[in-house]
Amino acid sequence: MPEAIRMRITLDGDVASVKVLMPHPMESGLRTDPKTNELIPKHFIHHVVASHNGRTVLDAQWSQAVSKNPFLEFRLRGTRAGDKVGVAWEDNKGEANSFETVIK
Amino acid sequence: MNASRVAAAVFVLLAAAAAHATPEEDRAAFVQTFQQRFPGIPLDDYVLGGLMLNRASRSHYEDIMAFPPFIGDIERGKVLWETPFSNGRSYADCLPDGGRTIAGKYPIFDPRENRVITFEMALNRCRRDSGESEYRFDDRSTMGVLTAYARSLSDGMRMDIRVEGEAARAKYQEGRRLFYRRIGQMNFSCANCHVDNAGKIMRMEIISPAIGQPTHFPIFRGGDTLYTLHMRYTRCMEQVRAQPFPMGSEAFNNLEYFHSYLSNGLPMQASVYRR
Amino acid sequence: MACSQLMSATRRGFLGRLGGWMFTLALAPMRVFGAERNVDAFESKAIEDALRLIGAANATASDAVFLKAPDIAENSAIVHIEIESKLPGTETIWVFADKNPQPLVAQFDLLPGVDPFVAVRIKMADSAFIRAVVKANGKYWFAQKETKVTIGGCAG
Repeated sequence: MPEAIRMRITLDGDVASVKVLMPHPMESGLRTDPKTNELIPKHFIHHVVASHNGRTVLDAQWSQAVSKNPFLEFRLRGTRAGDKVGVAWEDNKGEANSFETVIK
Repeated sequence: MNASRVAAAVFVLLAAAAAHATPEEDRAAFVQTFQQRFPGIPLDDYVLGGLMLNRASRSHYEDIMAFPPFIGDIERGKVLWETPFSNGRSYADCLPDGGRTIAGKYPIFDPRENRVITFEMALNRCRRDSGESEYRFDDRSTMGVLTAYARSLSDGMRMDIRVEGEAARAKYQEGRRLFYRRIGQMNFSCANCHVDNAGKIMRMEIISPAIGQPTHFPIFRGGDTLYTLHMRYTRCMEQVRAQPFPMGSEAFNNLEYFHSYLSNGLPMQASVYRR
Repeated sequence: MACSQLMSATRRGFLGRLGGWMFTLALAPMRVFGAERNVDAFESKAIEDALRLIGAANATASDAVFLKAPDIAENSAIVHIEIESKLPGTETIWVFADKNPQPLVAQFDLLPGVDPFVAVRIKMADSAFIRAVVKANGKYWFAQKETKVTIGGCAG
């Protein structure tokens, strides 16, 4: 079960600044496990989608070079309290997670 | 008597006199030394360490801290904090003020045990008193993350270490002695780097001054790897090629007592990013 | 046979975990507005190839693309960057770290309702130019910033 996505939203007028933290190891496939001396296989989020009131607004493709426990920030226009904001991710192993919240 | 003998005698006298300075006189001397060296840097900024002298690095630090990647570890610590012991009691029941705004008072001298008690030891006492096994000081997944949360309940409070009475002063002086003692193959003391060379660049990093250091632990190196203060002391000793004292040892506890006193009045903030 | 079973199992798992609004999208997980993941660009080892493969071989430097990145990255595993485009019609933002083994780090497709702004944290293999490439009204523009990577030896 992947760890929960965290989201922090600040509303300024009709612009919502959305900060997201997505816990994930983002293994590049280049690191060696110090205990086994073997390469840790690639395991990274490769697709992220953000939505506003159910409509996709941002679609991102990532490489393994995005940092561990990825951070993402984006800004929505025409937003107000009560609107829904969602983020979903899928990784290269097919694991996925999503989170949706309501702007206060 | 030749000149160097005179100088040596004067040095010993001064050192002896300094050794009997009160903690408050020590702290004031440190503050004065650093404020002369770093004019214009507010004392509260010292909790940032080397970042207080590098605006670009500080800005990057603030960008990371706006939403730190180690938030999961803090939340794991919160679960440990909130989970009752098998007898139904909790850390909040056991510690003063429910565990809020207290971390800045540790280490505390305990006259009954004639030793200094760190915040981590206080947490372990709570565990022991409720029949639970104590956490190891070197275990990130228990003591580490527990303090990542528990210490944050004191965020914003000012460090407030008390050294009252002869027995407490003896422990303080022991810590002070350790701070000035040259150790390891490199023969460095804490003071050599964090007083004499604070602000200078060594191995491409700005050396942090001794004031402001214990206010902000645990740290997350690279936003990822947790270090408690004693873990950091251990790394320092390893880096000067000395055999480290054990974490939770009297040596580290006394050092922490002295070291924390120097930061009295500075704002605490647990669980911060470091490179 | 085992492979396709695994594929459908993970896709079912993925679909099962998603809420309503993601369901339609998930039916074609890699396809948005008809765009597939540009695998060749992501796997390119040379910045010039990656740029060519996203169509940006002739991208022009633009003051209207703002890239914030540190002068010095004291820990190359986590470098916080921000990109904003003031160019009208900005539809895609790409992030490159020129000296990474695979320079293309991220692609952001923007739809109406989101500002042409992203912040993200990236890993850098070495001191390099970080590059923000933008597609706006069919043309390609970029901004770049040199970020030096240091490996400090004392702190932990």
